Amino acid sequence: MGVLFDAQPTAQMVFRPDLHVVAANRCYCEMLGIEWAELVGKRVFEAFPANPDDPQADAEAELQASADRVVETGEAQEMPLRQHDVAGPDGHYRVRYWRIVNSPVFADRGDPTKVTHIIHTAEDITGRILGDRVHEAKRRAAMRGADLAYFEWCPGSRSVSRTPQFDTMFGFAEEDHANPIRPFMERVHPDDLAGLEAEMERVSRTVGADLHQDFRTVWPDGTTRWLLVRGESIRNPDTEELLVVGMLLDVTHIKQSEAKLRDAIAVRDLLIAEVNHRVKNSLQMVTSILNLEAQATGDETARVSLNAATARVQAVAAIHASLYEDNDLKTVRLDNHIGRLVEHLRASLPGREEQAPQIVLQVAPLRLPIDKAVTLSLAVNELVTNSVKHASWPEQGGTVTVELRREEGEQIVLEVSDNGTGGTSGLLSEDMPSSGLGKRLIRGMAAQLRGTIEEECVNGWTTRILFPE
Amino acid sequence: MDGQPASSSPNRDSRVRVLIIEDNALIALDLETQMEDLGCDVVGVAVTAAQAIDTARRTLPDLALVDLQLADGSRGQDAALVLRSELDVACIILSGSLHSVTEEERLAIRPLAMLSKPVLPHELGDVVSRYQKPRRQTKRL
Repeated sequence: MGVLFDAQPTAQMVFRPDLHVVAANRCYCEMLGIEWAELVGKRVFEAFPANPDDPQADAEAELQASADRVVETGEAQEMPLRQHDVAGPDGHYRVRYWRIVNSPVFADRGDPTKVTHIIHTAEDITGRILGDRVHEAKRRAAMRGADLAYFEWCPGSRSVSRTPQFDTMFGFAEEDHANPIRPFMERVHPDDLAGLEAEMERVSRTVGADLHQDFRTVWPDGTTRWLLVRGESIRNPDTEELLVVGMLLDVTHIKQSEAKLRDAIAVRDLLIAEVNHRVKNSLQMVTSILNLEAQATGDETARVSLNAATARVQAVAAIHASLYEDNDLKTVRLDNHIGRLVEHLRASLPGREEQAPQIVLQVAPLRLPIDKAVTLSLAVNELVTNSVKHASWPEQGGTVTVELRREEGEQIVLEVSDNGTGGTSGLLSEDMPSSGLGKRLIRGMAAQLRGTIEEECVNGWTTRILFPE
Repeated sequence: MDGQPASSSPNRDSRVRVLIIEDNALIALDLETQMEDLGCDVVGVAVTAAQAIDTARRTLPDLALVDLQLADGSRGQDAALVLRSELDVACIILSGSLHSVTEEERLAIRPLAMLSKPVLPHELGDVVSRYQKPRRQTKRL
C-alpha cells in the first residue's frame, strides 16, 4: 500500500476526521518541502501554521468544515479555491494557491458506512492563478489607460458586464442599471437594430467568430452616435458558456467626415457633368450657327471661307466629344480622336469627287494632354485640307496618309504625306502670300507644341511636326 | 414647326420621316437643315418629352433625333422609350451627357446610335444613310 501511495503523481495526505495526519505521500512531502516524520501524528495545521501576516487565512476552519461534510455525506468534497501560504526553510512565507479535494475512506469493517479517514489531494495551482491574476491586472490597466469601453456579453444569460465607458457610449450614467443587455439594445437606432442583432446572433453561434458591426445609438435627448463594436466569441472556461468579449468605439466623427466627403464628391461630379454638358452644347450651337450660315450664303467665296471656318471650329470642338470617355480626365486617346476627325474631313472636304483622294490613318494609340490634343487636331485639319485642296493626283488615285507615332527620346511625330504633285509652296519659305492662313496656323500650332517642322518633296509632299511629349 | 408636319414631297412614302426632339432652337434648325440635305422629311420639332410623344403619335415618324435634357426639365430618354415601345420609332440620341443614359434605358430604347455633342455632320449622315426605312402598312390608322 505504502509503495502505491508514494508512487502517486499527485500530492496526497491522509488524516482523520479530527484533522490528525495519518500519512502523506512522497509527492506531498516534496511539494511542501517537509519531512514525512515531521507531519505524521500532528494536526494538519500544527504542521502548517497559518501565515500570521495574512489576516484572511482561515484555512483551518474551512478544512474542518469540509472534513465534517465528507463524514456527514460520505462523498468527496472539493474545497473552494484558496490561498494558503507555506513557510519555506528560511522561515519566509510564500504565496501558494491550492485546489483541494477531500475524499472519504471507509476502513471500519464493523460499520462500512462510517468515514474513518479522509484522503486529502492537493494540487498546487499557484503558477496558474498568479499568471491569471497578472493577465487580469494587465488587461484592467490597459483598459483604464485607453479609456476603453470593454465588455463581456453572455448570450445565454442576455447579460453584459462592462467598463463604465460602455454605458457612457449609450448615454447612460454610470451604474444606471445592472447587467441585462436589453436597455442597451433599446437605444440602438431602429434601422440598425436588425443588422446588429443578426451579427450578434451569428457570432453567438460559433466559438472563435469575429464580431464586427457599426450601428447608431439614439439617446433619449435625441443625440445620435455611431458606434463600432468589435469582439470575439470564446468559451467561458469556468461555466462552459459562450461569451463574447470585445470593445466599443465611438466612430461618429469618422462617419460624419465620410458623409461630408461623399456629399462633396457628389456635388463636384454634378458640377463637372453640368459644365461639361454646357460646354458641349455651346460648341454644338457654334458649329450649328456656322453650318447654317454656310448653308444660307449665296456667295461662293463666302461659302468657302465659312466652310473653312466651320472645319477649324469643328477640329477644336470635336475634342470635347472625346473627353471624359474613360476615367482618365486629363488626357485624350489620339487614335480614336484623330480617326473621328479624319472621318469628318473625308466627308466634308469639297468637291472633285471622282478625284477625291483616299485618306489613310496610321495613328498609334497614344494619349496626350487635352491642350496638346486640341492643337494637334487643328494641325491635322490644316495639313490634310492643304493636301486635298492643292495637290493634283496621279491617275491611279491619290492618297493622303496621316501618321502619328512616338519616336526615340520621347519625341512625337505627326506626319502628313500625299502622293500628289505641285500645288503648295513649302511652309518654311518666307515669301508666303498673305492669304496662306492655313500655313500660318500650321506654323503657329507647331510652335505651340514646342515642335519643329520638317518637309520634303519626294513623290508628293510630306510634312512632319516633331514635338516633345 | 411646333409639331406641324413638314411640307410633303412628291415621293414622300420612300423618304425617311424624322422627328427632331431638341429644345435649343439653333441646334434644332441646324439638324433640320442637315436632315433635309440628307433627303429626309422633317415631320416636326418638339422641345419637351410630352410634346415629342404627342407629335410622334400624330405624325408617325420613322426616326427621331433625341436630345436628352429638354425644356421644362423633361428627359429625352423618357420620350424615346415611349416612341420605341408604342410606335416602334428608331432613335438617334444626340447629347452632351450621354453618360446619363442608364444601361437599362439603352436596352429598352435600342438607339441606332448615341452621338456626343458637338456632333460632326458626317457622323449623323453615316447613321441616317445606313438606316433602312421599314415597310409599315399596318401602322397607319
